[in-house]
Amino acid sequence: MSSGLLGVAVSGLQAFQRGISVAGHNITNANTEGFSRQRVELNTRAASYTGAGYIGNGVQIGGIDRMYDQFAIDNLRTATSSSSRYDSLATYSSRVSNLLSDEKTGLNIGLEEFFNAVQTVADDPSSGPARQLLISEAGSLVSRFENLDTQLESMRDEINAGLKTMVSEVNSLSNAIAETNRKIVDASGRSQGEVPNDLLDARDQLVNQLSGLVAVRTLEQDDGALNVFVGSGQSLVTGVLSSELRTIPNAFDAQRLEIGISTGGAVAIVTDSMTGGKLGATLDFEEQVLNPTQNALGRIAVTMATEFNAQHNSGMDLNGVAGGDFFGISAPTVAPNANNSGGATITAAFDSANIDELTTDDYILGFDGAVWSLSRARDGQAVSMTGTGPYFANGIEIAIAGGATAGDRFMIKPTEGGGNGLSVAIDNPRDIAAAAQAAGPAPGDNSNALLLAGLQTALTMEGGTTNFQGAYGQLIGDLGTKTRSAQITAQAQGAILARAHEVRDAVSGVNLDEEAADLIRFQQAYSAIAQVISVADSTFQTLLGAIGR
Amino acid sequence: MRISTMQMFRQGIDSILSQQTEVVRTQNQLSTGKRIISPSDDPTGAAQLVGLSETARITEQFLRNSDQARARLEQEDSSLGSIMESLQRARELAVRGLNDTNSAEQRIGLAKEVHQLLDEVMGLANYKDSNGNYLFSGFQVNTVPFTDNGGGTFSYAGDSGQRQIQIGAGRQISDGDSGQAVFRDIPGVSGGTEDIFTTLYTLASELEADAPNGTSLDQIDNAIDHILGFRATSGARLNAIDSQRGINESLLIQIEQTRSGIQDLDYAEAASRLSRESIALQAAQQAFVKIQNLSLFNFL
Repeated sequence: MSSGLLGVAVSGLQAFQRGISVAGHNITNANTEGFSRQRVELNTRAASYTGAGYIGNGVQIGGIDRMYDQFAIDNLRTATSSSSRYDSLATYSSRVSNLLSDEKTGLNIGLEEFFNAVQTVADDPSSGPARQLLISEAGSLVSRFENLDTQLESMRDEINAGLKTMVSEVNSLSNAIAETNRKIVDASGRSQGEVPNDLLDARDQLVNQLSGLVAVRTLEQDDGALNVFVGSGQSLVTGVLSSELRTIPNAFDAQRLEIGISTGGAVAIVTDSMTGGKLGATLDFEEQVLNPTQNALGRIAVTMATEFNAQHNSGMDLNGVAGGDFFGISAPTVAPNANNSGGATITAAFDSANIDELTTDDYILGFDGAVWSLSRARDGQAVSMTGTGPYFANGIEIAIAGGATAGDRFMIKPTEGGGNGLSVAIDNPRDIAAAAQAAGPAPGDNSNALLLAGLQTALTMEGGTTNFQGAYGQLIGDLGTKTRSAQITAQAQGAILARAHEVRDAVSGVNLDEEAADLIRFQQAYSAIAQVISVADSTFQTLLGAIGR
Repeated sequence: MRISTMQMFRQGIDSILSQQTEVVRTQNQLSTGKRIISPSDDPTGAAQLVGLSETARITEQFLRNSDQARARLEQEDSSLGSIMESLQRARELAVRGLNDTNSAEQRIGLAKEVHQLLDEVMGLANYKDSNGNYLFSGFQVNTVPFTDNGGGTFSYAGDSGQRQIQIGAGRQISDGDSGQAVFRDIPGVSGGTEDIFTTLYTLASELEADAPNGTSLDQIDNAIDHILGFRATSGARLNAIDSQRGINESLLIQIEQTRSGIQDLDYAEAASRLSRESIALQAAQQAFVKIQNLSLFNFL
């Protein structure tokens, strides 16, 4: 009888000790990111049958449960991905919009000072200092364009470096997940179905970190392993194996990076399906903010320089000679696809007569074996070309030499290098063509200078709807709107993330007061059961004493 | 709902951080005096500011252009004024010369003075402005416009160019007149045109030869009328510049008001916002400390 009593008591001691140690484990992990609190599940032991009926045998530990809600964990993962995406996008975008709107670095003052200097020449066209001032203001306008372009380019460098780092982070996380999968499968096998709680937490935490970088989907296998997919279903982790992401140079432009995934030796390009997270945000930023901004700046530079040159050409300088080009403009860049097999060379130039049609788009010129066709790079929308070679479209002129093979493609970027490629072509103040063309020199004639000055407010951009500075204002407005919408979404996503944390923590988070209460509860039970042992002992002693007498 | 200890901590910190962000933003606005710190604060406003800045700067340039034109027109006006005085004197001399009481010697004396007047007028017609440009040579501002070749022949090396100056959006004004128009295209008494120097030279020659002729007096009257016309024109241009300056200045004030409406901070509102936000921040901090002290472990 007393051995039964002792057995019951010992089972209680063991159970409550376990309870105390689980509470301790919870307390020590109260600040561990991703930890799910654990609970000792207590069951009554099977009772023994006696003549008097079934008699209890004490308590046993049913298991140590991990308190979690898979739905909450998945939600948290999605929210982490979105929140980190819009946070990064807002941060990057606001840098660009602040750069362009800054009074010191922006284009505003440059354009204003330059055209004011043209007016000063118009006020006194024979004045050497006024002409010299115009050339130096032109120089500072050019360096403003250059400076902005350089800043944007350095952001591109930063982004490319960031992409490489993030890709290697993704790789090390997917490695770690695959490794954790292996441990989980092993551990579950060893314990015959008992789950290794802390490993599951660690894996959830790894997947969550991965979500901060790129949106992922997961699928749990029967053996406990978790498969992880990115993009449009490319597998990053399959059981205990992980695939690698890589950065690959773009086929048209080695400066721009694509994301590839290597599966079984082959590398598939998955840039476009990389959404969400910091990685997705970086790609979004480059595609939707950085490239269009650089092109928009380039377009202002190219249009302004082309219009100014055209008017300057129709004037006459102090020597009585027709005006030359005032600005140097860099031609549109043309890049063949790395996989082209034909021998065609493409040359693109600006179509000065229709320069107001110039857009901020990049284009792809393709050959289908018979016909050349042009499409917009960002969405593949067809762009109609006029002419029979050279072809004309949207303010550019495209000349084709040599033979292409069907499938050959060329990337044409009209305005990308515009900001950086601008230069002042005149260094002698006498070469400024302020006068109208006449039989001989007319130093006091300012009629062409007046027309040049008039270009400042002429509607020469966006199909004749705005002027240079108006286009710049639109660019700043656009950037402001993009940044604002990213910021608002980031705030909303931040709130959703906080809510997801709350929901997850409501189930899984450690509450120290609760653990303190548990400690008290188990401690009291432990003391009580110790009392039972003492009773059993004294009962036994009493019996011994009775016999010994 | 169950709340984890870490959640309580995180929430406390988050609300302190977000309050701090607001406070710093308001502080930044107060120290710059601007409502729009970055374009995302008000994208439409930021784009508008670009256009306003452009208009303001052009208008300021128009004011400078007006000053340039005004200076030159005033110089023209004062030269023409002096020339008028010379012509009036020449007219007096011509009237006196026609008087039969004059002897041949007296007429030679008159002729000498007319020659002097001719030199004066020549000097004024070859006047340079403050930038060193000849006022009356058309576009050939570096070329001496009038030369006395001797023997009553005078040549003009300028052209008939007339410069326009931009003094307002879509408003240009001439900043002078060519020597051709002012001094050469004077209607002749007997048809055609006659330049002012030839007129004076003829008058002097007639007086020297003791053969005064009424036609010369008439021709001087023509010259006076002609130049008076140019003085009136340049006066009208000066008035036009003044009225355009008024328009430009009030435009600048308007732009400044619009710009201020878009960009400037309402200090009273921002200051009260700052104190509200500071209180909220303080409350969040105090609540955080209070709550962090509440733990069952304190009683174990």
